[in-house]
Amino acid sequence: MKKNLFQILSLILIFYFIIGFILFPIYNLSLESFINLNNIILYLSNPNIYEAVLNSLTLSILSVIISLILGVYLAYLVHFYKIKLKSLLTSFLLIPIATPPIIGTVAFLYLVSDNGLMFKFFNNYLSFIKLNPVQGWYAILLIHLYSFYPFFFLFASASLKKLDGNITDASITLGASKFRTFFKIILPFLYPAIVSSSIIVFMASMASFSAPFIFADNSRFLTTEIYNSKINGDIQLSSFLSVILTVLSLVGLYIFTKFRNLNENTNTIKGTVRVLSELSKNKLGILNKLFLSILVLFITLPLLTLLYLSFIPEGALLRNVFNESMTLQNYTKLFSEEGIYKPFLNSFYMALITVIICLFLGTISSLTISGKKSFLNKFIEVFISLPYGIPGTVIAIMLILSFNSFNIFTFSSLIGTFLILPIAYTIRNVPVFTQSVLTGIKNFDTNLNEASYSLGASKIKTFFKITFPLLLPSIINGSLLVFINSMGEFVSTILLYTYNTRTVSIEIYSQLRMYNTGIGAVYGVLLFLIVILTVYLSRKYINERISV
Amino acid sequence: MSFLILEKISKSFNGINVLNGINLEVKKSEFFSIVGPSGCGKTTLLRIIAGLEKPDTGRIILDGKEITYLEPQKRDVGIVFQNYALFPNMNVFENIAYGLKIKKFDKAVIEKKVIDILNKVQLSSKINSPVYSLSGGEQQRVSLARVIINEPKLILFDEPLSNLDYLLRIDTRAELKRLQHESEITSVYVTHDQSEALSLSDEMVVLNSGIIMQKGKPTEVYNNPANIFTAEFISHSNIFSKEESLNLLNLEINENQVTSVLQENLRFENEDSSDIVVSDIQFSGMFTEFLLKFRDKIFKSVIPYESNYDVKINDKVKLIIAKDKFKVIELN
Repeated sequence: MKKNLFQILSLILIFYFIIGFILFPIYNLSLESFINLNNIILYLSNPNIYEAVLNSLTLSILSVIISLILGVYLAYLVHFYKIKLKSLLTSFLLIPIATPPIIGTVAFLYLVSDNGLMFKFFNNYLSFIKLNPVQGWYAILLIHLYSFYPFFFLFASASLKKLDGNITDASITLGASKFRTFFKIILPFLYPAIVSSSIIVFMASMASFSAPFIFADNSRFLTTEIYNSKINGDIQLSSFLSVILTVLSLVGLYIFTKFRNLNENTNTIKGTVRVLSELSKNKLGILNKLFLSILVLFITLPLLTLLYLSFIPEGALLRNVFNESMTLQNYTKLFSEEGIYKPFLNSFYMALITVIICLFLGTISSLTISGKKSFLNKFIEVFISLPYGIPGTVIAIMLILSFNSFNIFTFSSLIGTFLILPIAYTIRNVPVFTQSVLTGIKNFDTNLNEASYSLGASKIKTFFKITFPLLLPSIINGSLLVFINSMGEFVSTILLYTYNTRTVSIEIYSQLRMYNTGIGAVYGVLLFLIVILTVYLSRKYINERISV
Repeated sequence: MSFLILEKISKSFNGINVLNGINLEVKKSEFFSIVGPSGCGKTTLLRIIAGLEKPDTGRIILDGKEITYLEPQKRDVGIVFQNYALFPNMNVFENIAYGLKIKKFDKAVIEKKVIDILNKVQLSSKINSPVYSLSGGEQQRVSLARVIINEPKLILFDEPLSNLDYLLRIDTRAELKRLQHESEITSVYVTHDQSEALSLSDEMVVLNSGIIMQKGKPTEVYNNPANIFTAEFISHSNIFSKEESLNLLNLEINENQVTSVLQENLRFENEDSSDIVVSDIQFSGMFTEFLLKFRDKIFKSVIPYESNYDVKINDKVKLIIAKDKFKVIELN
């Protein structure tokens, strides 16, 4: 088929992006990691590397297991039992998914570390209870549980909605206990959902940086080792570790995908009757209520901690804060001191630039991919989504290797410039945006285009009058997702920022290192509010669209 | 002594009464039907018997034991669902063996019993098939086998034939009756299809808005409807008011009565001076249905097909009904 000018220009741009910003960096990373083979031999005899690999894998597997148990059990409770204020509870349960990892991590630190508010609270008011601070592995796992169980909860809840209530009734009337019914009928039914969420959580845990970075003490993890070796100037080691991390993630992805294919043929039946059971009748019911209440505390306490500390003068963790009165001085500083509001503006501009590039690049990519099935389009789809499987730390290392001097794609060095950050965010987010638009296109009824043609509209008119307006919700949804991800990005930022280009997430972290809690908390609160507001607006917008 | 007794069962959801003091008695080995339009409460009643819902008031007694608040697992009551509700993650064998495995039967015993029951429902060749590869009728037979194999005290059927095509429905109906008869398991069958209830049941009740309208053997209920609802819903009878009865049937009844006449008992012949007009004639194979209009009221007459009717649309006719075909119904 002959291509028009628009299509040719799109292809040139897409290939410029794929070759220059995905393949070229990957090539440089591979090159750098094996540049000196003697070093490789040295690395392979270094027990620290094995420890990092083992720890990262163990952390990821444990994270999958604990998030699975909590998420699936919650989905079961919410689906089968009468619970007061259920829809409010459900929204609550999803809060962690919208919390940028650095904020979650810092909030937990403020709460459960040895200087944390929980510790202080018990010391002050309930001193007869001896509390241990949560540190190291426990803290990291706690944060991972907090961040990752919503994936299992979401996927399992969506699946349960498709479960025919008569099937569980059939099991019960055939004599099976609720316990047996759960393990023999419900769990197998959830298998595909569990595998899908396991993939996401495994990849995210392997790539997790914030929690290990702040809480790891002496334990080594791949992401933190990549960062440390880069800071120590051993760029080959950090490249080598990056390759290991990426390969392990992809192997994990491959294994989980195999699991998913094993059980592809379980068909789903449309759901019918569902009678909600009472929760309160027996001991188990009371335990479950207690469990849900503790969970709500678990979700809200870190955020409440941030909110509280944002009203307390700096250095709260070093003092006994509960006697202090609250003040707005941290907030007024934010608006009056340039050094303090600048990171916010930086983050905002960078997120905005990222959204604009993604909007452009992602839209032409998804339109190209969803066009004719061809080798070229398949190639674009695979390579544009590739960065989704690459941890942020690794992407930063790749960019450092590729754009630290003259090169044929950007001509001058970008490292240390403002632009390198939105570029990193773009590489990480184009897959997200493209996926969102592709889903919109997949659900698009092509009969509508044909109807429009048959009524006499031209192709261009049809695109602007029919196709584009109907794809708009997924385009907007994708853009907001990209915006949220970029506003709070920490993982690649910490390897790429300079003092002038520091972002909110960096500032939250440096305030923490200075034992400053006030401004850090204000940043956290505002960032969280922006994220929640964005999610809320997109939901509202999309719901209104759907209800039309 | 009845095998299953329901006493004053009531149930409401969100302040709406779904069942209003239901009393029922079912004898051992009986095939008992509950028939009514959708929303009449019949499925809720079934779920209460199974223990999947708890009644607000009333008692349930099964085989001499009160089971009102007994957990469903311990009732020994099986259900056959309208949409089969087979376990999608198990094959035919595993589905049927499910209940026996829970009761910890010996492996060899389970295998033998499953093979026996599959022979009975004529599905031996499908023993290892995944359930989604079966047709609707086959799935329903597996669902029935899954219940019968446990030899429960009671089987509940929740509109089990509704999802099947007409011909398959008729076949499966006969099969169901045969299996129930052979196994002698007491059965309560819920349906909105009055012909199913009439053809299958030993005894039946008609349910409307959570109230029992009539109980009896199918022929009694059909021929002697006790109220307008049963007359219309079960027998599709023509109902004549006091004035119509006098004008058309030459029958004197009082204000609190109506006359019901079955469609097949309503005959007519040409009469030019009559006020009744043939407004439509619908041929439906074995029968022909005549719609007769008197003022604003339409009556139906169903007559076995004959090729040489001498009645045409717009003809004037008068009714001819034998005196013993009138059923006078008291209104309350």
